[in-house]
This record gives sequence, C-alpha cells and structure tokens, in this order.
Amino acid sequence: MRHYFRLSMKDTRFRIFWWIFGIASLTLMMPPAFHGLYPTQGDRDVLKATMENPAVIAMTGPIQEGDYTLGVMFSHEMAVFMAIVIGLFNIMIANSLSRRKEDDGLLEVVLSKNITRGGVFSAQVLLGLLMNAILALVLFAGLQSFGYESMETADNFLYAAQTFGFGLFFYGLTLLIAQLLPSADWAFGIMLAVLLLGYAYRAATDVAAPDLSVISPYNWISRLSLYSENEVVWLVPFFLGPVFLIAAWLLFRNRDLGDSVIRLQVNRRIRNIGSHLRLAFTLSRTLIISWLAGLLLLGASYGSVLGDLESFIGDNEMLRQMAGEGGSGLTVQFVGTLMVIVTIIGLVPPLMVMGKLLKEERRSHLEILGTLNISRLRMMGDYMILALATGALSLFLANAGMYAASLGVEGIGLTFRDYTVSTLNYIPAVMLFTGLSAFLIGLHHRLHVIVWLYLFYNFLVCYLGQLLGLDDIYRILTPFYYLNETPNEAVNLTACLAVGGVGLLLMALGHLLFRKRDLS
Amino acid sequence: MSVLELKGITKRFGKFTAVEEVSFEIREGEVFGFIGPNGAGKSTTIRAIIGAISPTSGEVRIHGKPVAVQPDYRKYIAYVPGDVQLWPNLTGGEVIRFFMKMSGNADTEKMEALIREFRLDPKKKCKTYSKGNRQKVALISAFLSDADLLIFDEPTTGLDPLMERTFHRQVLAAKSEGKSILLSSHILSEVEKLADRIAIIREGKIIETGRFSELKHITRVHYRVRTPDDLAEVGRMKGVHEFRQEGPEAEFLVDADRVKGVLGVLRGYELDSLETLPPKLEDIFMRYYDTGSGAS
Ligand SMILES: Nc1ncnc2c1ncn2[C@@H]1O[C@H](COP(=O)(O)OP(=O)(O)OP(=O)(O)O)[C@@H](O)[C@H]1O
Ligand SMILES: [Mg+2]
Repeated sequence: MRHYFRLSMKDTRFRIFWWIFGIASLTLMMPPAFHGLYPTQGDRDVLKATMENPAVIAMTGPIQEGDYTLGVMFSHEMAVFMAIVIGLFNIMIANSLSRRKEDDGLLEVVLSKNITRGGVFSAQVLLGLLMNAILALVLFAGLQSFGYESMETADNFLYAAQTFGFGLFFYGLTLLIAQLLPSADWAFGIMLAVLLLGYAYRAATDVAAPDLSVISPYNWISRLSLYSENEVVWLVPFFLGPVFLIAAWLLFRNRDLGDSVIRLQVNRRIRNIGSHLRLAFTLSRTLIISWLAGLLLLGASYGSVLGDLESFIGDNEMLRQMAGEGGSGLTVQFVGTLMVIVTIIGLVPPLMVMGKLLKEERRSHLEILGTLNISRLRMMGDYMILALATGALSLFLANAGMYAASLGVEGIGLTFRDYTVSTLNYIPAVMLFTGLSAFLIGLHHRLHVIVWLYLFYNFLVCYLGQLLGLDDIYRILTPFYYLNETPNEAVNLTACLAVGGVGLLLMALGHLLFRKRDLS
Repeated sequence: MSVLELKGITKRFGKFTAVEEVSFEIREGEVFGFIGPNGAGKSTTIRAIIGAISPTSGEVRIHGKPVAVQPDYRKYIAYVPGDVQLWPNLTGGEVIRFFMKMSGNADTEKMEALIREFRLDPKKKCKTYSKGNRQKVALISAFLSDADLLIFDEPTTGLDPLMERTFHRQVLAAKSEGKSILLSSHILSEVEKLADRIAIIREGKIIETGRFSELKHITRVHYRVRTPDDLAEVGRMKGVHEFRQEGPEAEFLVDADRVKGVLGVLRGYELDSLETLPPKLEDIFMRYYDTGSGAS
C-alpha cells in the first residue's frame, strides 16, 4: 500500500500542485484586493447596501447580519464561489484515481501485484485527505499572514476547515459514485451535475426559500457565518464526506472490477449508423441530452423564483427604488444576471462535445476513420455542428424554462420574444467558445484545457464584476464585455456579429490546423 | 504498376528520428511483409501511409500518384491497427455496418459469412469484447471493404491459433482477388507463410528488402550430420556457428557465403547422412536483431 500510495502520488502530484496553487492564489489575492478597494468600514457598509439584492444573493449566498467587515466581505464573496472550484478539483482527482484507473485496466494490474483492495482504497483515501489538508493549511497560513483586524486566528482556521470539509465531501461522494456507475465518464458527468446543480439550487432557494437551501452543501458554508458568529456546528454535515468514503469502501470491497452497482443498459436494438455525424451524435448523445435536460431544469428553477422577488424586496427602501414601478426593473435586472450565469453554464456542454473529438483521437479512432476516407474536415466539422447545436439548444431551453416557469408571475413584463432574443444574443458566445475549442484542438492535442480555463476566467470576471464593479480591463477579454446584457439592454447587433465573426474565424483556423496536424 | 510506393520517408519527433529514408513499393496482388524489432518504426511508417501523421520529408504514392494530389486516396486503403480500441457502447455489428456504410459497401452476405467464419457475436457491446474479439471486428471490416490495399499492423496478436488460420486464409483470398497487403508482424512464421516479399527495418532504417528466396543469401544454412567421426575441427572453422556434437550426431549453422568451404572439408569425413534444414526467416531475423554485428 505504501508503494501504491507513492506511485499514485507521483502520478498526480503535478496536477494536485497546480490545482492547489491556483485555488490558493485566487483566494489569497482577494483580502488585500478588497482592502484596497474598500479600506474603511464606511465604504464596505455602502457596498453591503447595494448588495442586498437577489442577483447578488443568487451568486454568493445570503449576506450575514452585522457589520460587513473585511473578513465577512471576503467570506461572503469568495467562500461559496471557491467551493465550486474546490469541488471540481476533488471530483477530477478522485475520479482519475479510482474509476479512470479502473477503466484503463491499471487497477487490475496493480491488484495482481500483491497489493490488496484495501491498499488501493486506502491510498485513494489518503491522497484525498492529504491534498485537502495541504490546501487547507496553505489557505490558513496565507490568511494568517495578512494580520487583518477582522480576520482572527479562529476565523481563518474555520475558513480553512470548511474548505477541507467541502473538498472531502466531494472527494468521498465521487469515490462512492465511482462504484455505482459503470464508467469514469459517467461518474464525472454525474458529479459535475451535482456540483453545478447544487450551486444553482442554492442560488434559487437562497433568494426564494432560504429554508430549503439547506439541502445544498454550499449553503452550509453560508450558515457557518464565517468571520462573524463562527457557527462551528455547520461543519457537522460535512462529516457526510467520511460516511461516503465508508460506503464506497463497502461497495468496492466486494465488487468485480469493471462492474458497477447500477448497470445502464440503454437500447438493445441495433442502430444503423450511416454517417460520421450520426456516429459523433451516438457517442455524445447521453451527454447532450442530460445537459439539455439539466439546463431546462435550471432555467425553470430560476423562473420559478422570480415570483418571490416581491416579498424579498419587502420594506427595503433602496431596493424599492431600484425596482421601480411594480418591481419590474429589479426583476429584469435579475433576469439579466441569471442569463449570464445560464450562458456560462450552457457553454459547458458544447466544450464537452468538442472534447469527444479529442477522446476519439486519443483512442486512435480518428486513425481508423481516416482510412475510411472520412476527411479531417468532416471529423472536426461534425463535432463542431454538434457543439454549436448543443450550445444553442442549451441556451434556448434554459430561457424557455425560465419563461415557462415564470408564466404565472405577474408584473415581470417579459414576453417569450424577449427570452428568444436573449438566446440569440448569447449564441455568438457559443460560436466564440466552439471556435476557440476548435482552434486549440487544431493546434495541439493537449491545449484544449486552455478553453476551460478561459471559461472559468469568464465566470470569475462576470462574478466579481457584478459584485465589485471590477475594472472593464478584465472584462475586455470576455465576450460578455461586448454583448449587451439582455433583456436589460437592447441587443447590440454589431457586437454579436463581431463576437460571432471571431468565432467563425477561429473555427476556420482550427480546421486548417487540424487538417495538417499529426494525430497523437 | 505499384499500388503503394514510399520514397525516402523520414519522420522526426522533435530531435528524435523515428523513421529515416524508408523506401519500398508494394505491387498489385502481392503480400508484403514488414518486420523489425520493437520501436523500429513500423507503426510510424504505417501511420505516415494512412495520413495520421505527415512525414517530415519523403513522399507516399498510391497508384503512382503522390497522395498530396489525391486527397481522397484513403478510399483505396483499409487499415487494422494492432491494439484495436472500439467504441465501447456500440455493438460489434453496429461498428461493422458503420464501416461498410463508410466504404460504400452493402454486401451483407459476405459480412455474415465473415462473421460466421471469425465466430464473432455481433450483438455484444464492444466494451464487453475480449481483445481478440475487438480485433475480429476490425479485421472483418477490413476484409469487407472494397479497398485494394489492406494494411495490417500486428493483426494477429490477440487471435487464437484457429482464428489466426482464418486470418491467413482471408489474406490469401484477398490476394487472389488482386488486392495488395502490407503485413507488419512479429510472428515470423506468419510472414514467411504469407509474404511474397519482405522488408526488414531496424532503428528506423530499412536494412533488407526482397523476396524471401533472395534473402536466403544473408542467412545461415543449418546442417545436421550423422557420423562416427569427431567433427570438432569443422566446429572451429570460420563461419560455423552454434556447433554441437553428441555422439554420432552433429548440428551447426554455416554462413551462406562459407558453405562451399565447409562442405569441402566435410567431404574428408565418413558421413552416414547429411541433412540441410531449410533456412528460416527467423534465422535472418536473428542475425539482424541480435546485436547488429552480423549484418555486414
Ligand atoms: N508521437 C511520437 N512522439 C515521439 N516519439 C514517437 C512517437 N511515435 C513513435 N515514436 C517513437 O518512434 C519509434 C518507432 O516507434 P514505432 O511505434 O513506429 O515502432 P514499431 O516498429 O511499430 O514497434 P513495435 O514493434 O513495438 O510496434 C519509437 O522509438 C517510438 O518511441
Ligand atoms: Mg508498432
């Protein structure tokens, strides 16, 4: 087990290092930045007043009672957000150490080498504990080093502890899901859905029904009241993490390798796959359909909270002003923010579809398809068609869901046409991201990660931009700087054409490069 | 006219030269064996032919024309890699049908015959197939295609001996239809049995090409002798290798160019019998693989 632990460690340490480095620098950048932007309590109180609106709460979680100190501000704006990244980190590492290794047949080899299942599993668990502990330690040390008045040792410790707890929760859940589902792709897909839908669910319920929000782990972070009351008791639910680990072990112990608790045997009928596009669709069908369903659901859940805004606004004088007559101004603004979030989430499935092309390459399928006289143009083109269609449908379904679920709400004043226009407004973003993806794939088979980082950058900038009124310098690199925020603002046609045009250009470049490139 | 011609193919990965100045041609209706040790550059050469990678320099010609001027040249090619990875969630039958559709072939009768002959269950998902069964899916697809150049990169590694024979039969059947076959293999008896000509590649360079009979000159002749005499003298001669004598029976190898001298000396002994064992591809192979010392 020692040897296997060391081997796994060597295999993943660079990835773990970069994740920890990224998360820690992103987190630790913030307190000094906030301190620079809002140095006095007075500044922060003004900020707090502007933040008490549903759009912000949907993104960050509820604002704590009491003074908006530097510490409170930091935890309010960063803790829930960073949890997404920490969750993703844990899902990816856990999946790659467990189900991915199993799918690749490596576990089989290892288990034949006098290493027991217990050894393999404890190595997986130990690595999860270790990486989360290191991350928590780095964060704790970093936060301590600032020495800000409102960020005491106990506060910082609790912040680090919830990071650890949240990370381990997702690490454990991933290991458990890895036993339940038949492949690494499935495990990853489901866990990603849990991570994102958990966030989306919290966003909706925090605004509309705060009590229901407690089901989402993100909400436990909010309830810890970091840097003020320090309600340590909300660390308790995170002990589900170890429970998941135990459950995973019980399943793993007795399971055949390559088998799973849930067997997904869909369609037994013989399909007649007559074209490469059909093949590409067959390969990505599950992914596409489940994401589309997820986005429809997401849109609907957002739509259903719109009716509760009125009660939310309540007696708040400033919100009343912002809301204007009948509260529609505020609602429309809120819808505008939601559309950006929905668009960013809706960009995930097209990128995953493009990722399938790389997967086909990695499995040497493109080589064989090449000898069937399918041109590289067709290979990439078909995945691009699928990606674009998936992206457009994602946005459309999310918007349609939002519209349908808010039909009963009075005084919103948004028609189906407004939602459709909004869908069209953001389709150039789909083109841009698909184009960038194609360009990177054409350049080299290992560069695709950049488009994911870019998507994350977009999210970060939109998020912080919304909260802090971040300088436009940062947004200038994202399509959301150019595209108007519908339905708040009218569509800027020039911007749409420009962003879409850049997307088309990147697609063309991607094709040219991909045609000439050596397959891996 | 040659079906496939390689002209000075070189492929570098960064500074490392995987394949250097590889040239050979394959004629119509011919089985061409391609052998060489691990990492010699066989797969790299084949991947350059099918266009998965582009050669750093050199030219691939199909039917006399450079592939650069016929973008759809791959319609002439069917390819089976050594480690076939199939789409895990499609059944074998679905994959075969897809391959047929793509190469515009609708001969379902032949498909069913091949599936029977290779004893494949086409209804199972590919992820449940054993390695050999995955290989069969790819082989069946290749034999079904209308391509006139079949390229096999170590195709029999996962097949059992029975299926290996089926494969050999199909190769010969394809050959009799006038198709050409490029067969890269580590199984020398297979190449020996099937190939009309062979090329040996080592460290990225072709070191021998030709008919098997032409390559005999570079091999060693294997003698088995019964004699009451002690042949130790012969064992010490230049060009004699692996000499062994136990009682009346002696066995040794003689370099092809020294046979005359050795036979002259043997005439001086009392011989009950003298057997010449046929040269094997393996002998050629070993001579080159071993250390490279005997390749002069
Ligand atoms: N994409 C690549 N990048 C770098 N080096 C490579 C690449 N592909 C192949 N090589 C190197 O080129 C050399 C030739 O490899 P190749 O796969 O052609 O050998 P081979 O003759 O097929 O061997 P085997 O009998 O083991 O299949 C090897 O040393 C290999 O490491
Ligand atoms: Mg090879």
